[in-house]
Amino acid sequence: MRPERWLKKLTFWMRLVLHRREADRELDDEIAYHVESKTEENIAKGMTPKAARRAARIELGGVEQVKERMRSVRAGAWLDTLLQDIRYGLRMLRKNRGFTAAAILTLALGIGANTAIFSVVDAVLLKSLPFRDASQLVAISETYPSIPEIGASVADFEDWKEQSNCFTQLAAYDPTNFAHTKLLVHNEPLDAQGVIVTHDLFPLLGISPMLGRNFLPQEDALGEGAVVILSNRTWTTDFDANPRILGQSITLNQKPYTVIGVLPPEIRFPGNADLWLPLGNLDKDDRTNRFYHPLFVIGRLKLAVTVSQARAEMSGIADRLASAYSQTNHQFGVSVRPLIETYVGGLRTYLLVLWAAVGLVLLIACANVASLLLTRWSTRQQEMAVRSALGANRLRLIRQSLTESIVLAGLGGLLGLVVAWVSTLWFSTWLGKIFAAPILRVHRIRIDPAVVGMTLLISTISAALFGVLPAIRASRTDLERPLQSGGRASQPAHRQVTHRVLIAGEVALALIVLITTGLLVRTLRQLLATSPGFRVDHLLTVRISLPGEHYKSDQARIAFYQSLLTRLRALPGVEGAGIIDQTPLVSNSASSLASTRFLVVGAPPLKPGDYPVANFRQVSPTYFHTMGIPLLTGRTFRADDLTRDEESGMVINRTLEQRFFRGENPLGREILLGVAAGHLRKIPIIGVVGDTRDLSVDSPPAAEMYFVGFGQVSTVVVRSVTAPANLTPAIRASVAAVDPSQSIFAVETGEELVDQSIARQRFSATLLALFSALALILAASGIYGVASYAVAQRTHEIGVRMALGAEPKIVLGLVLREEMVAPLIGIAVGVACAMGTTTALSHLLYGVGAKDPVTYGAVCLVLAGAAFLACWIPARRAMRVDPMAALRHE
Amino acid sequence: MSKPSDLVQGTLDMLLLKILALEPMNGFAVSQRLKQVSGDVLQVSDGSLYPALHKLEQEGWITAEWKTSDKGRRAKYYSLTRLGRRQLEREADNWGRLSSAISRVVKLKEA
Repeated sequence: MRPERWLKKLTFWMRLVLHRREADRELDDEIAYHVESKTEENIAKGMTPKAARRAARIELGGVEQVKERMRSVRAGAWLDTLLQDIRYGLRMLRKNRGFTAAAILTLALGIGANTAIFSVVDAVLLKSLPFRDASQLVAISETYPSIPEIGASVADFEDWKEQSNCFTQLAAYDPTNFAHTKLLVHNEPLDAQGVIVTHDLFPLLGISPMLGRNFLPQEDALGEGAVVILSNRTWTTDFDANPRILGQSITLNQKPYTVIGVLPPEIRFPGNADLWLPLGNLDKDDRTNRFYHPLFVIGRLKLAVTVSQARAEMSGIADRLASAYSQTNHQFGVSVRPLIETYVGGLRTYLLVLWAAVGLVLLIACANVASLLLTRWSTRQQEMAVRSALGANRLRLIRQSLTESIVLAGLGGLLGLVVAWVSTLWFSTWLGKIFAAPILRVHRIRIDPAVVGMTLLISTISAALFGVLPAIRASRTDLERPLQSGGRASQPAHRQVTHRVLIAGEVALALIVLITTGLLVRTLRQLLATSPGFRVDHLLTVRISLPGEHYKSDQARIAFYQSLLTRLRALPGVEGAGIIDQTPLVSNSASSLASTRFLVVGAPPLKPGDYPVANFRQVSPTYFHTMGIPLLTGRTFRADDLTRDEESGMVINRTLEQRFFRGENPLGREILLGVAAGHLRKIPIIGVVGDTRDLSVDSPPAAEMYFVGFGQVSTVVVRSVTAPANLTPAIRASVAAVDPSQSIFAVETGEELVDQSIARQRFSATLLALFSALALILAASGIYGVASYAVAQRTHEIGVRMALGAEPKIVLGLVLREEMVAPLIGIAVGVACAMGTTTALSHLLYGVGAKDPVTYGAVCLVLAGAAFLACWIPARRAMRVDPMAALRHE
Repeated sequence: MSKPSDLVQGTLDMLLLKILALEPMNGFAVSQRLKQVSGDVLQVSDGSLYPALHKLEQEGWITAEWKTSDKGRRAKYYSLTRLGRRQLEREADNWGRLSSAISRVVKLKEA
């Protein structure tokens, strides 16, 4: 278009915006002139003035319609109409306060819940890992029949690197060997978490040091690598953020290391790492054999390679290694998972379930609003008829009602954002409390542009969902009837059908949400009722790490712990105290649990690759008694077992006894250890104790062996008389009294251990319970609305029936029967759908089946009850219709 | 919007431009003139005439001003613009080509 034409358009626009009235007056004048001229002409032809004017108007074809058509060809007419529709829509919403409040509140809850869950999904699942292109990263580890995830041996890792084609790169880290490092700062030893990494791990993750350099390939070589990279936190808190730290020597576990770099603040990978060392720090023995499995591997997938392709390739490699090295690798498999899953693990599935549930709640909300709109538009039929008589075409009417829906959704979305904002504050504190893993950016759960964008999208989708059907219905107004009947439009049957279909759908969706909730709540109750195998109440656990050369001797450790235990037992309020290397229920301990292969002496021989595996733990003699783990047969350790020179025997748990002795007496039998590495030791069984849940409350107990003794890192368990947390200062003082250079960390009560173990289940069950309540309320109010409307429509009919002698009870039954049909169909459909969907949840359930009849039955009853109540209230109203009043109403 | 009856689509614009090319006139006069010159063959309802005139004004092909009519009342008078004149030539050309092509086809003798 040429500039002059633009200018012209612009002036029209300006005129439209600034001088709308004037433009409309000109329109009036022009048409009036035409009609008058025509009338004069007709009079001149001999008509009466009245007939002349009438003829002129008829020839024009309706003054208002022509004017409307003239307006619609104006430039910017759409904007004009839009503004007009919004103004009109707002006016209508203001006029029907009750309807507006109900619709906006319904939408706000639906949209708000969705936005809130999305903000969690966004922060935890989508933006959680602070690495470059994190979606291409996979975590690779080895598997063994009874162990889902163990590290890889260095030799296996080397073979993987050589034989795999799916990855651009493979790198590895060892989180255990330097996990408890003493870092000397101003001659004071501090606990630091060190991690050994291959030189290419940081480049693979896309991490560049903020200061200094990365590790070099030659620093991975054996005996090399007296260099260290510090975390930003260690650098700032322990070295005063001194930029001249680079090149300086610091002392780790009494050896000098040169600082070569500092990482950016957000990187503490893995776990809460404080410093990183190159692979050269791994001992010679640990890196040549295939028995020792220290390395966790991270791979970056090549473009367009999927996780399952990588999994297929890696299991092929694992099979080849298993047959090539059957002594060590037989039955070893490999696990390849998206890296994010190793952090959020089960939480991912729970979040997706929650997301699906809020989606259903939103659908219910939309169905409710659609039903409200349908009802309202049918009362506005007269208005629609007048509008189309005045020249509004059908498209125009659809646009008008859609605009009103969008205004409604917009207001709902705005309020929903407030709902979401409040919930995110709650989520971030709650989730932060129950998920300790710092890599999860729980603190980043907030309303950011992505979340606002999602709200906008959800609002638009809901407007489309609930607006389109009523809009099309509204536009299908026929002109004659509403105008003639003076506004008392009777309801065509098909509209009732639409209402009923919506109701049945709502009930079906609500049923699915309720059943999912029921199953997870029952799971939570089962978990709470499951004993972890020890007495949870009045129990405090604290961690202690004894690093350095001094505590490498057994005598030194025994002396330290004996003295500590004596002091603890003497504390007021302490009933007992014991030591174990790692208590049960410590989450994410799959990699920190020590396990070994063994053979039962006297059992049928096995091939080397088929040797069974058991966890082994080191405990003090008092451990079992303190924890309340029952002794089943034989004896537990005695104090003098610690100091005897020969092997003092082992205590096994019930699972090991049942699996390998099958009713025989295990006491006095011997277990052969060191079978894989070749230095054999025979150890007698002296007792059997009860099982404990090691990983989490819902994971079955594994075979376990207990030995007497103390490791360099262990957990002190204290049984208290009063509230256990009050003992912390006294325990800290006792530790300092035995050795002033030691401190305690990770203080937790028994209840906290259990709570953390079932945090995910509790989180999702609580939220689902909220969503279910919402779904139930929405569905019930939907049923109530439709039933009330139906009764109102039939007041006349009911009046006639009662005038003809129908009993109130019969009327009640009549209404109930008709209104209950849709909810009952909804329940039936919902049960069928839920049967299909809940089986997908079965791996989240514990102690309850996916088709648990109790849950299904209870939910059906609750929904049917709610539906009955929602119908009964309007039905009672119908029963009380005064026949005279109803008939006079006509 | 309903189409002008009995008119080849798009030709109403051309007719209006042509009529206004002769002299500026108001809407009523255009309606009179249209019936007059076409001998009542072309039925253009008054209801379609005004929206069409407004569309031409939007396009910038005609311009409008309020003048006193010969009956002494104020009326909106439309006149052709420079752009409108060019548009008319273009449409007249097209029309000429189209109509002569159609008449050639219609006059074909059956073999």
